[in-house]
Amino acid sequence: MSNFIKKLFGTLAEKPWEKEQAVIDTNHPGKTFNLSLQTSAVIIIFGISTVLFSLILTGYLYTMPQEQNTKFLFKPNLLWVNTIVLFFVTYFFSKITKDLKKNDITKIKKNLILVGGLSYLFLFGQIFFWYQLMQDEKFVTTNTYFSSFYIFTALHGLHLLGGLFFWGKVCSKTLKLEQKEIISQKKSISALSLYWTFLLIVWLVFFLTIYVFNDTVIAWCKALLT
Amino acid sequence: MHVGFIFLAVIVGSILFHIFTPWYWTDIASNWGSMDDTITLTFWIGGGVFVAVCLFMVYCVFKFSYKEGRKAEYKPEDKKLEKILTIATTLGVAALLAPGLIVWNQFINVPKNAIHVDVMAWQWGWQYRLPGDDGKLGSTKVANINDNNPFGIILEDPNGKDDVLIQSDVLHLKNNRPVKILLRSVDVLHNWYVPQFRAKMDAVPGVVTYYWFEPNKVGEYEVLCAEYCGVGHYGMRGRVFVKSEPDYENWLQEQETFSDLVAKQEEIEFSKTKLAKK
Amino acid sequence: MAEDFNDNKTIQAQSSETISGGGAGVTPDKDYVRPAEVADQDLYHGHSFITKWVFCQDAKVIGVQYFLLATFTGIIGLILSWLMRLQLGFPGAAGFMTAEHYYQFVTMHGMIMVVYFLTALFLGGFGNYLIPLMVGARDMVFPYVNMVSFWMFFVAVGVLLASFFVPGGPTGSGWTLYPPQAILEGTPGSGMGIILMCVSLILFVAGFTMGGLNYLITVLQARTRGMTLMRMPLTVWGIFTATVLAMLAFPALLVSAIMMSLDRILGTSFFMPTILKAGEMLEYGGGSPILFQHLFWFFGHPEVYIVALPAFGIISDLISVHSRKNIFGYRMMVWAIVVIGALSFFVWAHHMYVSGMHPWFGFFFATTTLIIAVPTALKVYNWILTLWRGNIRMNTVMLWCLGFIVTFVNGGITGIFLGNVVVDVPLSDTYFVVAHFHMVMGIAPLMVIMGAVYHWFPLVAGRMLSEKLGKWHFWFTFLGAYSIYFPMHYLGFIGVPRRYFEMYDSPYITSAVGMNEFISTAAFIVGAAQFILIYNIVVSLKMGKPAGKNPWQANSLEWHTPTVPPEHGNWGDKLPVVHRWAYDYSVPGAKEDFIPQTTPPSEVADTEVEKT
Repeated sequence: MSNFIKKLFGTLAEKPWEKEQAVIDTNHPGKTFNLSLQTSAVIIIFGISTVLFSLILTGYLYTMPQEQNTKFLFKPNLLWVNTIVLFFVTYFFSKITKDLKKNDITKIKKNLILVGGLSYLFLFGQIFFWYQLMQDEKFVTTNTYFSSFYIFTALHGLHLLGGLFFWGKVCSKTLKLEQKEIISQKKSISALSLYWTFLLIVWLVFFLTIYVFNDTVIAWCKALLT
Repeated sequence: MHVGFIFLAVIVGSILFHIFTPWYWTDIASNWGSMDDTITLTFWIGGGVFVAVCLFMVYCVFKFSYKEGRKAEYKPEDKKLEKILTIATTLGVAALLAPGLIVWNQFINVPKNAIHVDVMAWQWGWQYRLPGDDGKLGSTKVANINDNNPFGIILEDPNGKDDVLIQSDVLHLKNNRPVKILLRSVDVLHNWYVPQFRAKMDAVPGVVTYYWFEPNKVGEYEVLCAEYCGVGHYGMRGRVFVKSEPDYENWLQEQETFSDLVAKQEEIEFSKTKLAKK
Repeated sequence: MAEDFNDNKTIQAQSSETISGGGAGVTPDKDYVRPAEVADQDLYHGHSFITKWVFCQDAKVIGVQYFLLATFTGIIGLILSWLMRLQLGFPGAAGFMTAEHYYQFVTMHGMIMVVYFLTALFLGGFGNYLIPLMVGARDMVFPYVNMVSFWMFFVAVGVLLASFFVPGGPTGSGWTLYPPQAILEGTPGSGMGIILMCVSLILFVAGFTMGGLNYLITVLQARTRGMTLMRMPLTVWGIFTATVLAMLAFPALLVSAIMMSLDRILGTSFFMPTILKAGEMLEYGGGSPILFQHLFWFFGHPEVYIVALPAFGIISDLISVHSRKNIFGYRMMVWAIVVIGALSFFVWAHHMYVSGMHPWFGFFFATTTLIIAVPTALKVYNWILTLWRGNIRMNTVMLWCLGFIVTFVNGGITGIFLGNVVVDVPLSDTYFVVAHFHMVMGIAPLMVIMGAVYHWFPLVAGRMLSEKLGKWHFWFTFLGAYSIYFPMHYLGFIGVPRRYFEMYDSPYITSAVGMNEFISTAAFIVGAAQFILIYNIVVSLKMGKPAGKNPWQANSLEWHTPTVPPEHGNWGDKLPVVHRWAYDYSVPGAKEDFIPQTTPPSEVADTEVEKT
């Protein structure tokens, strides 16, 4: 990070009109970071979505410290399972990234399918959890706590669906590939892997603040505001 | 050439307009002359910069218009000049900001002797509530509002019993006595604004906001809603009378208190039951 | 050099190859260019009419599409403003005008002009057309996504305009869409209108994100050889930084639009407290209207700079080219753009000084707001210092630049009034605010757009616009717009509140009747004058003087394509190589008063550049 800042601000101090600088500049390859286009795109989407989710979280913390019922009747349940599933997805993606270095195409193909399957399982788990909530008469209109809960899970799910769309494209291409051709999909696969890591981070922040430690967080917020 | 002259005319015209304009401040009728002063200060500094920048531009237009064969100066940057300009601008900005913050500090700290006035807004009207002899307003809740309790006063709160209720959009204020306007709204955003008093603040449903001023000119003023509140926004007016102390006390005596209202309603209830018994 | 990931290595490799003595910075072959490292971009070339002009993946065509659609919505916004001014200047003159209609027009005018006109035009229009050309790329990095971006915008505009035809009409909640009022009865269009507005905004944000992804990655990762960040024209810097802002600010708009539509459709209470309406308690409770304002202005303030920064960038280039002089203090200009962009995320609550938020915020936001005035002022100084000792061509483009400086400085100064918290108290929600933001965010960027149109039309169409018509267009627009908004500030001093359908007869308002009539008349004339441009464009497309290559003798890459107008792929067989920054005008010792970025040092061997 410090390197990055140094690079960036070092650049801003250049005097492009001076002859010495011109000689150096003309050698520039035209690329700022050593990243593939796909990875750059994922990083930018990462940035945008981070703002999106932080704003929802901030809004939640802003309206929360009022008298609202935040109790789940059946708290330690499905959401833990879903979280573990998401962990597994990221784990398998990290395996894929390792195999990419070894060019182990069969393992990559196998894990790629596994990753997609587990992601769909996660989504299914989320929808089932919604179903359970509604059975318990916790609807999106019940109070702002549950409104935030639903909107956050929905947007996270949509992000995952978006990722799965690209996963489908990459997967269908990869499955047709021979051992040596894997290089053509390398960039896309590692970009996907990064995206899933990001989704896991977002999920964990949400899971911990709104679900696991919700009462502590709300109490802390109340204390802060009064 | 004519380009420079037209731009010059625009700048001179702006200055002349400012000097001779018939449209300027509505006469102030509160203690917030300091707000007008900060605006005047901003006008001088800001206006000075505007005129200076534009005149320099016009000078460049006259002096450096295209001539075949002349070559422009080649100068990528001038660190010294840029440093001077940065410092000068920072000083100018600080000179504007400091007095602004000082006055803001006065604006948000209400004097202790201020009379509290509850201003309740809805689509589209106002009503007011003044504290009784205890000098305190009773607390309220939107959910309590009904025909018998138009202000939603919490019945258990002893401070509310002697509150003076004014169910009309005409408010009377005592001259030379600070007032703290406590704003609340039962539906959407509103804003209780009297141009002559300068100050304003939104009324936000769900919370109570406030501001204060000290009226210092006896007279009648018009209240405007200054935050868009739906289709009746432009018609949401009220009136304020600033009165000398004896006149104000006379008016206050005639107003109904909350306990009066409750008693009256009980009387009506009582006569109703009596009627029913007969 | 510092920003490259592998530059040191290359420089060393090169020095060992080419320099025998190894003197740092002295290369015998000054024209040396590193070989290309990345394979050339594969482009999809459309052949049918549909793939060439409708669902086209060429950033230039997409840019023109954005430009045309944004202009179309802009004209609708202009007509709405006429109707509003008709009511304000001559109440009752338009028989059909009710308060409902008036507020609907106010809302749609504001939203269209800010989001669907200015943002789309600067980033979608100029961004798409100019970024690849100016950084020397063949196209945007993801052309397909870029195409989808435009068509999302198209659908967003469609949904927005559809709201004129639904029962209840479009929303009339003011362009800020403040709840609870926006979704409650009592506000026009609180039924379908507000829902369609939210949907349209969501689509716009989604589409725009796709475009923005392209602009960012193209600027960062797909420049041509020799194009360092600090060699880019300021136009690219402005658009790039504005896109970064947009990427970080639009999520706030997205969140507020989603939450508000949920409040409206499902009955959630994100922004809705307990509400008593017409004697009945509504089924809302627990939400906060001020949260919406925070979210909205967290988007809304950077939005101002999303429009302003590209304008800053473009105007810098126009002034430089037509003064035949390098932009004064290029580095300061870049820093100012970056600093303004960063600060713009810490000033949003200056729109909320009288909103009832905690009063202590006033101290913080007033300070940050006035700090942002410093880099902005530096930019203004540098523009006029660029004119100084230049060789200024008094053509139409330069007129728009001068008009921009006057209106921008004027609007910027009034911004200092409104940013300084206590000064804002009497002035907020009055016509002073209206005058301020129209001057700084309406007229000033419009001046830039017009200047840019006259400047780049020869590149896009291959023909010049008529100078004579252009000058008439300018003087009508500039003098007219100035006489609309300059006096309007004084209405604010009187205390005339904004968003009033009718003023009635408040004693201090009646004195302003004459001024309102004058302002309205000027508004009709200025609006009508815009059709001079449309006429000019239509006529010049066929009959204009052929522009030829580089009619303005400019340096930046977009004027140095092998064909004019540039074709799909921009550069023919070979990508250009950049040897210098974009501002080598009037270099001492050079024969011409400009040296294009592609000119290698050996061709201009006699130039002398003093050290600073």
